[in-house]
Amino acid sequence: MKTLTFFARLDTLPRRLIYIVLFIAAGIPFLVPIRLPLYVWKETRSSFNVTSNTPTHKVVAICSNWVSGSQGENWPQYEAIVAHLMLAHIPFIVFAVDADPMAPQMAENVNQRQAKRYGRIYGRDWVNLGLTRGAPLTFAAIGRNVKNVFQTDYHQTPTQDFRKLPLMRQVHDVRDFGTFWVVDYQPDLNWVVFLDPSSRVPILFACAGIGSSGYYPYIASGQLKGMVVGNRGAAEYETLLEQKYGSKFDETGMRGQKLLVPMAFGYLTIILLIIAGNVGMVARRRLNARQNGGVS
Amino acid sequence: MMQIFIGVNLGYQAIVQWRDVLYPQWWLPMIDGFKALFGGPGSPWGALWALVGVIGFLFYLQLSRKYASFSKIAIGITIGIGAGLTFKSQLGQNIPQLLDSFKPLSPGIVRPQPKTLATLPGSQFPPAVDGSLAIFVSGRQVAANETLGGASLWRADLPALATGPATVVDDDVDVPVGSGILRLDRSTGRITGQSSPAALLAPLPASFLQVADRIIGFAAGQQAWTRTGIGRLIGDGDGRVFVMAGKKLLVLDGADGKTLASCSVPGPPQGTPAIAAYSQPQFGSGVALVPVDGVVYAFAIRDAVAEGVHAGNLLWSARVGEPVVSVESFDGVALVTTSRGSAIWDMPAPQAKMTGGDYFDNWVTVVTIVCVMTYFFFSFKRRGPVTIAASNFGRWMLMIGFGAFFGNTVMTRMSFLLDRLMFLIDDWLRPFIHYLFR
Repeated sequence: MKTLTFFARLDTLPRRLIYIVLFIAAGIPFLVPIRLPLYVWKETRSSFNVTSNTPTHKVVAICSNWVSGSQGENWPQYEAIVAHLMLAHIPFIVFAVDADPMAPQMAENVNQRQAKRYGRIYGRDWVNLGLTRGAPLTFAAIGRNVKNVFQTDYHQTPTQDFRKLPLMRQVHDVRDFGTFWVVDYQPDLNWVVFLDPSSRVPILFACAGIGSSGYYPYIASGQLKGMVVGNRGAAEYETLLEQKYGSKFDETGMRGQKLLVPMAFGYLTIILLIIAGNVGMVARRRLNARQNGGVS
Repeated sequence: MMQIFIGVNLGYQAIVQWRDVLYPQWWLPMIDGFKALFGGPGSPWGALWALVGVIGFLFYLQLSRKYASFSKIAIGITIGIGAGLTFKSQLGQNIPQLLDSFKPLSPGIVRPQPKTLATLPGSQFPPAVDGSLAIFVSGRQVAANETLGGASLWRADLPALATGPATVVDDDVDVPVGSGILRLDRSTGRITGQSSPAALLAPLPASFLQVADRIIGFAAGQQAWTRTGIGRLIGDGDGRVFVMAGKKLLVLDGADGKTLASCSVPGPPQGTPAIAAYSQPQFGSGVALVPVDGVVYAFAIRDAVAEGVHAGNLLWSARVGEPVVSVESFDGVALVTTSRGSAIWDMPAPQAKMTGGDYFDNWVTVVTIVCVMTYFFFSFKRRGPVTIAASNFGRWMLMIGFGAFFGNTVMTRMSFLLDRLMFLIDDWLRPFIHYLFR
């Protein structure tokens, strides 16, 4: 009876206690460095390979729509992708479509930080084209003529000014994109339909885990060539960068793997709490049944 | 404080909307258009952007009781455009999904097919491709077309029947006619004179030769390798040698003569096979295009050109319908020529071979759809053990699906929490403690 009463208490654990336990469990790895082995999923590896195989005469285009609301997942992803492009000397253009006005600035902060690390130059190695609106027609317009949609870059330099933005000399339309990334809380599937009618440009999504289940069928059908899912995907992408570039890859400030261990601790705590809750529920029912003479 | 934040945010949004969107994409083209109307440089059509402003203004007439009906024009246009885009969007997203769902039922039916990007004239001989120009010779006619777009550039009539393929030499095109060679201007197709056959047809030293049952490969004029008794040499391309051995097409490496792939073909190829020039480097030199009996077969010629694919596996095939004169590949496309017409194909990327897991996944999808629909059909009474079992299974699958969504939601929320925690510990707590105990 005593044991049953003890377990029945688990059913009514105070909310505050649960939050404190979760907070401590997730906070420990920030203070004590812990590393966990990581399995790289197929969709992340595919994204990495497609990006690595971008032809040298083409650019990678990124639609970066994330802002502070989803930075917990999209920031580590974007940071890893930009680090990859800069390490591999792949030039890229980045823009935001129908996003919060802060999106280009969030992306540019990351670009500048990684550029400083790997010695890349704005205008030659990357161009931030700022924000535009009007999806999904804008997707098609970007595919037809990038410079028509973005007549100036984020810093108001005309995209036809090839002296300041030499990269834009080689960017005309979707045929110049070697790979197309969409980094967003929930990327718009209309990119698959409207950007490139001939479907020759591989499209990759970096999304929050919450909506990822809905995108898997598009990977199976080949409409998406890969996907980086949430913070887990970012950590996997960083692992692949480590494997490929070794010491050339500077981990400082990378967020994927750093957030992954606290996440694992957090999940473990949640799983234990779910088990505890269920044990408590069963114990409570049995206790009630005994106290009520067999009627629960 | 909240009001201030909302106000600042709205103000910032308005500025960005004007600076990054409306000003460069609407205001400037419109003003330039009006300037052109009054004698300025540029195109006056930009002035039509003013209509967008007028339509936009009609929305605000909802505020007036008298003129509210005008706002319906703007609303109608918006809904019409939205509906049209939705159709396209849904079809573009879902038709490939539908085809993919049929894979477990009949993988052959949904095998990837090349897309025809452009149709070009037919040719009796392999066409001459020179950069963006392709030249086709058929009977007494020579036609030049843009290679990728298919646009006709010029056509020229010959005084007699052509006897061989055209050759591009600098700014000229040479076409064998009778016993001589006619020279045409490359840009216009105008006949400019005759060439000496001897000078133009001087053969290049062969890189690969068949002598009796031996196939010999040369490098820098020296014999590099020999293979004996493996079959009949039918041609080479892109450093690969094609040899027919019974019903097998062997693809050899031109550098050392080693067999790269052995492909089962239904008959002897028409003309020389070609190596597919995919624009994606991971597929480069990995696929051979073999024309046989009016069908072009694409074979993998190296392992893992796509996941689970081995050298010699058939990747895709496409019916042309008539004997193929030649197959060439460049810039990510294939040019398939027959005597009646030619086509530029966008070649489908080699796809991973379906594994047992893929079949299982697809069957789970199909069975789940049927069972969940059974669960949700309330218009008839569920009777019989099969219907009830299907309905129960559908309910379980729904629960598992919702569980996956819920799990992902927890993951995302946890990430957001940790992002903030990381900020609190790394950017706030650590420097604070460091400051206290320095």
